[in-house]
Order: sequence, then structure tokens, then C-alpha cells
Amino acid sequence: MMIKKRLIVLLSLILVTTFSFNLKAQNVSSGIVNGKVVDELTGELLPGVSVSLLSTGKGVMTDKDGKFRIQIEGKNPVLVFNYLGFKKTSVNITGQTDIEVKLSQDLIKLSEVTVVVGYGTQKKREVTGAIGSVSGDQMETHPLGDINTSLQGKIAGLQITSNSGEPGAGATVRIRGASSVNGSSQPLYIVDGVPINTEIYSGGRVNDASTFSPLADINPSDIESVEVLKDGTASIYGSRASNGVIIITTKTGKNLKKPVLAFSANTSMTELGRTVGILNAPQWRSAYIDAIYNSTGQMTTKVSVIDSLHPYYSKSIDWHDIMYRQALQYKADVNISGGSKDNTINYYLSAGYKNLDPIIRETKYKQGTATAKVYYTFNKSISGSSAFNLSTTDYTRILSGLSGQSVVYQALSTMPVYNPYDPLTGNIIPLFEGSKPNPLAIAQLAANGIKRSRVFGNQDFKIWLTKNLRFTTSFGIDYEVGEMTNFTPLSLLPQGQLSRTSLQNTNSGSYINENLLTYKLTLNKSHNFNFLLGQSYQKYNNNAIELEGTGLADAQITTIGASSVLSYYNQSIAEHSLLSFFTRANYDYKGKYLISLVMRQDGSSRFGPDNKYGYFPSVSGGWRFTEEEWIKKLNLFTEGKLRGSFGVTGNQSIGNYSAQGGFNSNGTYLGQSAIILNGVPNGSLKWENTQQGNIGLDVSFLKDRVLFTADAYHKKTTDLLFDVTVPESTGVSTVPGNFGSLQNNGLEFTLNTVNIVAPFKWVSTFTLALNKNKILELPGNQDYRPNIYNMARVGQPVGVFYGLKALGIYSRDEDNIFIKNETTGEVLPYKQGSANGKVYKGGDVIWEDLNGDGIINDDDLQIIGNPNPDFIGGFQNEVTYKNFSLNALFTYSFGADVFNELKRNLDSSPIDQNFSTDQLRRWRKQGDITDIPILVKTDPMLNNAVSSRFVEDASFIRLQNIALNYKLPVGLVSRLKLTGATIGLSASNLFTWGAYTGYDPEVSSSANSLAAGVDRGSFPRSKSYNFSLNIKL
Amino acid sequence: MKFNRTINGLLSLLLVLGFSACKKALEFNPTTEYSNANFWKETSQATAALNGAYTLLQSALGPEGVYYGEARADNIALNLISLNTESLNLLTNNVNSSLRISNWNQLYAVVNQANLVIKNTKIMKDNGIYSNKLSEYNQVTGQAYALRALCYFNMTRLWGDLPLVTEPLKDATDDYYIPRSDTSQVYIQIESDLDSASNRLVATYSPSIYTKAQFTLGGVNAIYTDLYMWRHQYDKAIVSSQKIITNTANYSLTSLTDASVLDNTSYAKMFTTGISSESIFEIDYNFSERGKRSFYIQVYGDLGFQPAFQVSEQLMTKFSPNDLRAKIAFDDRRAINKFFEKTNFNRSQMDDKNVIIYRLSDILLLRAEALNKKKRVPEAIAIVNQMKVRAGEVALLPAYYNTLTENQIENLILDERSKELCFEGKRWFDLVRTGKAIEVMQPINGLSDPQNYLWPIYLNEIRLNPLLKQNSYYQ
Repeated sequence: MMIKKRLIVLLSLILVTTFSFNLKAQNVSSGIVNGKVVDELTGELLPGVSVSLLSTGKGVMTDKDGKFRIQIEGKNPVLVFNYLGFKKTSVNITGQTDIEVKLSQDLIKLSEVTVVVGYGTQKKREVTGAIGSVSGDQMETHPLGDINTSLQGKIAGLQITSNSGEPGAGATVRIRGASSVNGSSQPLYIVDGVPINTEIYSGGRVNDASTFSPLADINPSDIESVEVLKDGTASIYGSRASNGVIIITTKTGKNLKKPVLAFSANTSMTELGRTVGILNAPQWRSAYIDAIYNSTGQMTTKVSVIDSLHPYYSKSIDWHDIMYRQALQYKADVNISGGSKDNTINYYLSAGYKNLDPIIRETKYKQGTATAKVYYTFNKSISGSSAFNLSTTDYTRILSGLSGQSVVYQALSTMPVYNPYDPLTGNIIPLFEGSKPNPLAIAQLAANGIKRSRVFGNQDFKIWLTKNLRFTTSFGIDYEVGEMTNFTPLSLLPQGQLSRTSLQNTNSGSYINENLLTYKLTLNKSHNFNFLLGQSYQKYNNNAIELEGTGLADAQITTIGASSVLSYYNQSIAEHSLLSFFTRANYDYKGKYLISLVMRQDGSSRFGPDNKYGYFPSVSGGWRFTEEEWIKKLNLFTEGKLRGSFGVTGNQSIGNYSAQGGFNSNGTYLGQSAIILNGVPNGSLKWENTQQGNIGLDVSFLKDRVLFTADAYHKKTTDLLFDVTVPESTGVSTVPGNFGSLQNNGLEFTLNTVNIVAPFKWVSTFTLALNKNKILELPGNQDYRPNIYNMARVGQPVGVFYGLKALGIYSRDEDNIFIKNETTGEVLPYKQGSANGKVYKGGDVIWEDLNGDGIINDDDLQIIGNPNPDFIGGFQNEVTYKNFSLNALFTYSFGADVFNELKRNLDSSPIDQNFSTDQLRRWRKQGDITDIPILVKTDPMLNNAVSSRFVEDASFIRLQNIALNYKLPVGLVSRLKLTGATIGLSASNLFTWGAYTGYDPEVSSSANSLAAGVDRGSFPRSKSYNFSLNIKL
Repeated sequence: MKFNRTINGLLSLLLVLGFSACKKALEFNPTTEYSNANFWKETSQATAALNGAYTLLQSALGPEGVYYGEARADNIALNLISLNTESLNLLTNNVNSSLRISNWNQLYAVVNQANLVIKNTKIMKDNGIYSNKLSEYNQVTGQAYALRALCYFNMTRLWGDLPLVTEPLKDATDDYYIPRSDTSQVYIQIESDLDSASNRLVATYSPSIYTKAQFTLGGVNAIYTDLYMWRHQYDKAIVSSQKIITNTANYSLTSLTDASVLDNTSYAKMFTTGISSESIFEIDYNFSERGKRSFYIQVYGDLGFQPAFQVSEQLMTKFSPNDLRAKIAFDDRRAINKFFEKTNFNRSQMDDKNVIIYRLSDILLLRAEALNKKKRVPEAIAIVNQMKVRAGEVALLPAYYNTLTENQIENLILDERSKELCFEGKRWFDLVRTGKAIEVMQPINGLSDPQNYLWPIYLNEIRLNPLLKQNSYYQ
């Protein structure tokens, strides 16, 4: 009610103001000056420029033709022209009655831009660390995206790989390569000063490849700026900063003298971006018959295969068409911001609603967000602020991955001869022969949902104890409740299995209190000091209740209460905390020589008593060489700075009780409680440590028309913290520990240029980041293999693919020659697995026999690919002409490989299913020359083993976003009583150029860099065409 | 100024509080699970940990035990409707280290849990926690020893030399690369564990289900018998089997004629409802305990359920027409339904059949084998006849069996074992133990090399532990 009343007041205020301006403009009397205002560069007439008399402050606005009439009085009258995006200009008009005023565009002096550096802000020119920064405007070109997709390609060295094309999808976010190898090596995210939960979560107790990011709870429209701390100066955030820090600042009503109401609406048509090639019915029949014949020597008797006229199996169904749709998505945002005239109070309030129906049928995604942010000044020495964000999400989804109930996989693997509907009755068929579920039936009958609500924000008070000494205390909260439900009905399960339902309820929060003292001091007008002393305590708790029930009576009531037996129930409560003390001292001499020292001590409850505390220092310095007289004389640079930093950061992402080990319940035996080992303790568990050195150069030329930033870094991480896979003879599969070390070396470049100024204006930003990573040390320097695809080996990049190398396909049986005795003609062939193994025949893969023993086995495994890209970046362009603007963002990644497990699953044929179109090239008879082996059901010769056959180049260039916006002419806008309106058309993910044959080359099945780059069939990415409308009141 | 002073005061207070709260602020113990600090403090916890070992055994052998003991032998055949990588490769003797079934992880999980119980109960006893509760201590540790012996015995029969782990991993920094020990070492360990178990265990528990589904002295003697037979120590096997046979109060043969409907006889119910008079040790599965199942339906059962296996022709021909056991074991469509109710079987809630590890018939027939080797043929045949007569067949007469050689009688006993114990995870070990695996399996799947008897060590395990060497056949 309060807000509503306030809104009305604000609205009336806006209207009154607008009218009063109009009235004044028409108020004609003597001493009148006529004039027009034009853009100095383009000569364009400028409407809506505020023109006021300096002495009285009274003013008018230019009309749609850029003309104005104003009454003047007094001696030496001076008119002040003020227009957003142009320099404020004063003109003495003594004796003139008709003037033309040229305004020059205000290219914001980049060195004046303020950036957030953690516990405070700095002018960009004073920054000594490597910090990337993106403004909210730059993110708005991607209206329906989330923060992750909006940041892609915009900051050099920031690699964001979405895990899937689902709304709210999790992403693997890396700053300067993989510096940790544990599961959750995400950067630390700080929103308005509060570290928020960003731990990627999965959708319940099901076999599913989908993951979700809590970052989706933030509405990108509310973001003012994003800063990325990339180097060692991030040590101000100590223990959680080794993967970098991403600082998000939301919008405020600062410096707004009058309230602004902004409304935006976006509608989008979304469809599948790329498809994967699978066989149609005739192609599949032929392949299937081969597969069975080659396995058993007999013709298959499967009716669906041999009877192509059978009413059930006579059609060729394209399951992509059945399962994917064109979905209509929309999003609406409204926000009001403003402040009091004296700037003692300002506010920003927003509400947003998203309805993103995903491209797979029967799914729905809805999200509502709201923000309130208020600053207030009590008196000269006390001020405060409150910022709160709300988000609630309701997602009705399907499962992805490679499981039997994965719609994504079943859409590919379901045989094309199956008809989703019974051709006789028209009813949906839940299960096909061999108990294969119909993906359409899964989408319709299974129920998987995520509901979550979250509130995060903080309250702070600032007290100036003296003029230069400020005390800040803040309390922040991040609290969320989530409910994951999954139901699989009886009709989708093989005969006699049980319908099951599960419920996972989580309730988690973190609470933080921080107390800061900042002190500013200037000596002799040239020595500037800035001190920070702070203390922080953050406590996290997580309370999860998981229930799984089986044997529901029907598919009507699918909640947990309907199950006949609870097959699993558990509650787990986990808590941990961080206690930190930190200090920073910044010094500069006349703004020319800069130095900054940081020290942070973090204590974590996760480590044992001897290793609780970690120390994270950093030192950085800068030299603004353009302040030197002799360089000024060169008249070459607008601004230039050399930077250098060295710092230590840490990582503590390991289980809360890993140091302690534990035992937990494993159900019952004979009705009695059963408890088993849950984790081997590690008393000496300690902080992971990253040391990073960075040198950088910021330089701008030609009045800031060219801004170039370059950074070079060396980063070394030691005592890598992770749950390492151990031999199973220990009785456990992993133990927590600090194992090994690795390094990342890289270069980053950012080039901002104003390419053309007028009449077109073309601004572009090009980013490029090169990173090389290498494992330096492992326990016993032995190879470590967390799964069957990836490995860690000293001297190699993290997570390289490891397998057999295919050299081709044996064309004929007799081509398999290991050793041929030239005199007798006797041939010793290559064998599979062991000296007693089977002999490879025509159609089998020719594997490289690395050790030359004639046996293809584990000794012949080699590195067959690298999931880490050589270089990544983006190219963002904005072209404006009159009221039109065109934005285009390209992102690119080169040099990474993907392991196409999705294809391997399709073609290795463990169960009856469709195959990839590779099978059109399969070896069929002696003498065939091809790259695809013979198709044999169950693959006894292991032709589909993990090998180079499934490693593909993941390099791509993507037209991530292209947007054309039209700003309605001021005349029209003001007639509509608006202050601004823009309509736009845009397309996201329109083209991806790359050789990868899967859904998308951007693959991230696991946030764990040791298990990266394996395509396990996640929800495919979509492309969308959007229409947007933005109105400002 | 006054105001400032107040603030300063508050600040200092905050800092002091901050520092003093330091220690507490960074200490959290788990609340929904046990940590090492609060476990092994009460005897009930040790008992729960022992039950934990049984739940791990449930996962290790249901239905993996079927794959280990039957999939490479001649009692079963592939169900062509259901081709899966595991069953197909085992049946065709294309055993390779990529097969998940070649992973010993679940059996080692039981070993580790037993190690934890053995080690920690000892400490608890030394700390007086078991004072006045010595029998409880003996019961818990005795069973842990027996479980460890059972797992090592099963594993050495499959993989030969084994990493002998008898101490739990105390800390993640302990050495976890353990090389394989020679089978002779493994046998010594198994015997020593069995000795420890038999010194501690009693013959019965109450209620009776505990006697059958937990390790008793009888269960330990069953492992002894099996082990001695495996090692061809026939005299010892005769002694240990004798101990079971004489315990008639606990162990007696079931009947095939004690009900008008075959499905209701105590013999049939031995497999469907479990906990029979004949049972010596079986793993209990109970659907009402969190939906626990042994998943026999994945490997056996009505062909509509698409099980991996059906009965082999070789086995079918062994049964004479009067043999009632054939009617229990499989149906006309060759579906193996020995473990399932022939009518009203509801897969979704009745797939919790107990996995029988040892029962009296098994021990009797092992004893018969030993007696034959010791030239006590009439006694051996008496046992075979006991089986035959119960099944409705005629007993063998001396006029017939006196003409047979020792080897022929061994074959006769093995055939009887096939008929009696088919699908119970025994046949492969019978063939290997008696050295008849190649003779029997070569015509079926081409098995030709005794080195091939052992299973390969799982690929991942070899990759993770550089000290492991693959079994020679698979190198």
C-alpha cells in the first residue's frame, strides 16, 4: 500500500513537472532569446536539451526541432545547456537574440570511471590490480538471458561455459583458467557487498545432467555494473578468492533529482539452436539389422524392424520434431528510481516477471523478482542503506543426461520407427517394446519440478567518527528455500518396477556481519593515504530433508505421501563459518605513483585445529606515466598506467566436515539401525593456496577514443584441495586432501575503440585471453584419473582426454598385420586386450599400438585431446545512427576439444536405440574403406571404447547476440508524456560457426575442471528472436 | 564527541567479543551424522556399524553374486530378448577388465566396514565400554571377522592374489596403495579370521531370523567347509561339515512333499520366503525396510520381466522327469523362477528375495565330494541319495555306484549339486574347484586356459593403484 501510494505521488510529480516546464516555455515576454541546439559533430538538431539561465536557474527545453525560446534578465546573462551524453555547456549571450549552440559529446573520461574493488571503490586510474568491468547497459542487450550469458565475451579472461540451454542453467565460470580442481571452484560472487550463495545445485534425487545456478535469482535488469577481480589483489577476499571475485553492484537512484519510472517488455520466439544427426526409419532398420546380424549371425526377429508395413511401425518419426517446439517467452520489468533534491535519500525499486517456456515440450519456467534499495542520510555523520532482493522461481522440467528417463537422450535414441501415439486408438504409448519409454510420454507423465524462493540483501550504517575516519557496520543475509520434486509413474517403467516419487526440501542461509574502519589522509597535498581495517564473520547453514517413496497407487497424486514405502529418508544439516580480519593500505604520490598493500586472515571451521587460519597478503603498485612531464610533452597518450601485483588467495571448497570424517545411517538390517563409514577424516586438511603475479598496462590515446589494456599473469596453485579418487581396495572411493599443484600462465587484451564518430558512431570492444595451464605436481607424481575420459598428468593441462588413438578401420580381415614373416608368409595379427584376446577383423578400428607389443590394451592409452581452450574472447560492436542503434556480440573460443559421449552412447548400442548419422558411413563388407567401424550389438571388440574417435574440435565463433534498437523521436515521446522510449528487435545465439557435431560446442558437463569437456547430453541451447519495448516516464 | 566515544566503546567491545568468540565461532560438529569424535562411544553404535556391514553385503551380492557364481558356467543361458553387455560378455567368456562386474569395490566396502568394527571394538573394550558385556563384544566382533573372511574368500576365488587390507584407513593421508598378496597369504588371513570368529560366535540367536541372517558358528563352519574344499583339504572339510550336520536342532532339510501345492512346500519357501530350517547363512532383504531389494528379477524370473538369463539346455537335460526340483527351478518357457512365487508374484513389492549364501544341502554335497575323495563312497552316495529321494527320484544302488570310478562319482555329485543348487551362485566355483571348468565350458564358450579362470581386475582399479598387476591372462 505504501509503495502504491508513493508511486501515485511520484507519478503525479512527474506529470506536474512536465506540464510546468511546458507552461514556462510558452511564457513569452521581452528580453527573449531564440536559438537552436545542435550536435557539434553530426550537426544533428538536439531535442529535449535543458536550457536554463544561470542566474535564476529558470529554464526551458528544446523542442523536437532543437529550438528554444527563453526569457532572459540581468546583466551578462549566461545560458547553461545540459543534455545527457553531452558536455554541460555555458554560453554568454549578452546582446544576442538568436543563437546556435553546438554541444560536444561527453566521452566519459575513462580514467574518471569508478570501479568497485572490494570493500570500497576506486577511480579507474588509481586501480593497481587487474580488474575487468562491465556496465549494466552492456548487459541489457541480452534481455532474456541471465547474468552468466550476459557476461560472456565481455571481460578478457572470464570464461563462462553454460552447462545447458535451460533457463537458470548452471555454468562453469573460470577466471584465468582452471586454478582449482574440486567440484565447486566457482569465483566468489559479491552482490552489494554481500557474498552470496552461488553453489550450483541439481534437481533432486534423480539421474539427471541438469544443474542450476543460484545466480539466476538476480534480475540482470537490476545490475548497474559488474567487476571482476582477476589477480592477486583479490586477496582482500582471502580464502574464497583463488578463483577470482565477481562483484555485482545493483542500480541506485543516486543523483536522480526527479523520479524515473522505467518499464520494459520483451517477447521472444525461441527454438532449438542446432540438431544432432540421427537416422531415419529406413536408415535405422538397415543399421539395426546389421548390428544384430554381426553380433549373433542371425537375422533379427524384432517385429518393429522387419515389418515396415506394420501399422505401429510404418512411419519414420523425427523425434526432434516431436519433442522440441517453438516457445514463446516473455519478460517484463518495471523500476522506479529517484532521490531527494539534496541527495539525502535516494531509492531504486524494481519488479520483474519472466515466463520462459523452454523449447522442450511440457516444460514451464516462471520467475518473479523484486528489489528495493534505499540510501538515507540521517545527519552529516550518519548514513545508511538497505538493499533487498527477492526472487521466486517455479520450473516444471524434464530430465536431461544419458539416463533412461532423460527426455533429451530419449529424443535422440528412440527408434525412428516408433510412433508416439497408438495409430489405432490415438492414445499415447508410454512404453515401447523392450520397455523403452516414449520421450513424449516421459515429458507428459513424469513430473519434475523445482520451486525456490530467495531473499538476499544487506543493511548497513556508516558513521563518520571524524571527517576522515569512517566506521561501517553491515549485516547481510542470503536465505533460500527450495523444493525439488521428481515423480516417475508406473507406466514409464519396465514391467514390475515401482513408481517412485522423491522430495528434496532445502533450507539454507548465510548470515554475515562486517565491520569496517576506513581512514583517509592527505599530507602536503601530495601524499594520499587510504586505510581500511575490517572484520567479518559469516555463518552458513544448510538443512536438507530428502524423502523418496515407491509404489504409488496411481499417477494422480504424485506427492511423497502417496507412496507405499519410504525407500529413503534423510535429513542433513551442515554448518560452516568463516571469521576474517583484513586490512588494506593505499598510498599514492600526487596520483602518480600508487601502491596498495593487503593482508587478510581467514579462519574456517572446515579445517582441523592446526590449519584453521590462512593468511592472504598482496602487494600491488602502479605508475601513471602520463603524469610525468616528459611523457605529457609527447602528447601521445590521454592516460597511461603500468601496474604490477602479487598476491596470495585461497580456496576452502571441501566438505564441511571433511577434516573430521564421519559415519551415517545406511538404513536398517533385520530392522535394526545400520551405520556405515561416510568419510575418511583428514586431520591435516588445509587451505588451497594460489599465488599470482600480474603485470598490466592501461593506456588510452586520441582523447580516449582508443583504450587498450593488457595483462600478463602467472598463477600457481599449491595444495590443491579435493576429494581424490582412491583405489577401491580401501573400501571407500574418495578421500579429502591437499594434492598436487598446477599453474596458469596467460595474456589478456582488451581494446575499446570508437571507430567512427559521425554520422555513424561505431564503438567496439574486443577481448582476447590466452591461457596455458599445466599440472606441476601430483601425489607421487602418478597419473590421476577421476573418470574414464579425463586424466591429470604432470606437465599436461588439467583434465586432458585419455584413450586409444584410432588410425582408421581395417578394410579387410587380412589387413590386420602386426608381424608378417616374409619367408613363411605367416601373419601375427593385433589382438584385443591380451595375448589371448580376439583378433581384429575387417571393420574393426585400427588402434595405435603405442608400445608395439601387438596387443591393444591399457598400455596403448594416450592423451587424445585437451578440453582447455587456447584462447577465448569476444567482439562487441555498437553502431548508432540517429535514433537507431545496432549491437552485435560475437564470442569465440579456439583450441578446446570436446569428448562426444552423447554420440558414443548412441553408437555403442548397449540397448536397442537409434544411432548417429555417422552410421551411414559404417563398414559393411570386406574392402569398404571408411572411418566408422562395423556395427555390432554389444560391441565385443570395443570399437566404441573411449578413443580419439569421439574427440572433436570445440572451436567456435558465435553470434551470441544481435540487436537493433530504435529510439522513438523526442517529439513523439513527449507527446506521449514519456521521457524516452525504445523499441528493439534482437536475436540470440543466431549462428554458431564450428565443426562440432553435437548440440553445441560449448559443453560443460561438470564444474570440476578435472572432468571437463565431456558432452553427456545436456539440455540443448536454443536460439531466440526477441522484440523489446522500453519506456521511461 | 560524546557520541563518538560511545561508538569507540562499542567498537572496542565488538573487537574483544570478536576475538574471544573466535574459537567457538569456528567449531561445528556435524549434527545429522556422526563424527569420529562421537562414534565408537557406545556398544549400540558398534552393533549398528556391524549392521552397516550387512547392508553393504546386501549391495555387494544382490544380484552380483549370481554373476560371479553362474554367469560363466553352464546352468544358465542367455535370454535372447535381453542382451546386456555384462551378461553377454560373461556367457561368451569375453571377460574383460572393462566390465563393471569385475570391480571388487562393494566387497572391499564390506571388508573396510568389518575392519572398522574389529579395530574400534577392541579399543572400546580396552576402554572398558564393554565391561559386563563380553558376550555382546564377542558377537559383534565374531560376526565382523566372519564377514571379512567371507568377502576375502569370495574375492580370492574370483581374482586370486588380493590386496590384504585388515586395518581401516584412519586418515586420508595414510598410504592407500596396497599391493596384492599371494593367495597363500590370503588363505592364512581367511583361516585366522574364521578362527577368531568361531572362538567368539554362538550357534543361535534369538529370534530365529537372526540365526539365519547373521553369522553364527554354523555359518563360520560353512565357510570353513567351503574353504577346505576349495583348497582340497578333504579331511578338514569332513570335520567342519560334521559340526554343522550334528547341529540338528538348527539345521534340517526342507521337504518337497509337506504341502499339497508344490509352491507351498518348505523347499519352495526356502527360496521365496527365506529363513528356512535348511538355511545356514543368508542375506536378508526386506522391502518394508526402505524398499530394500535383492534385484533377482533383473537376472532371473518370468521372461516378460526381461531377465538376463534363462535356464540352459545342459541343465534341463540333467533332471529326470520325476525330479520335483525342476518344477521349482524353472518353467516351460525356460524362465528361472526358483526364487519367485509361481502365482501372485508382484515384482514391485516381492523382489526382496533373500540371497542364500550357505544351506545344509550345499554343505552336505560338499561333504559328499570330500568323502568320495577319501574313498568313503557309500557315505558320499548316501548324501546324494538323500537329495534325490527328497526330490522324488530313486536312490542309487550299490550295484550301480560300485562300478563307477572316483571321477565318475565326483561328476555324479557335481550333477547333483547342479540340480540342487542351480542358480544359487555355486556352479562356476564347483567347476573351478574340481578342475572341470575347461572340460565343461569349452564346448559352450571356448574356455581353454586355466589362467582365464581368474577374473580380470577392473580397469579403473589398476589405473588408480600403480602397485596392482593385472592377472596374467588379461595382460
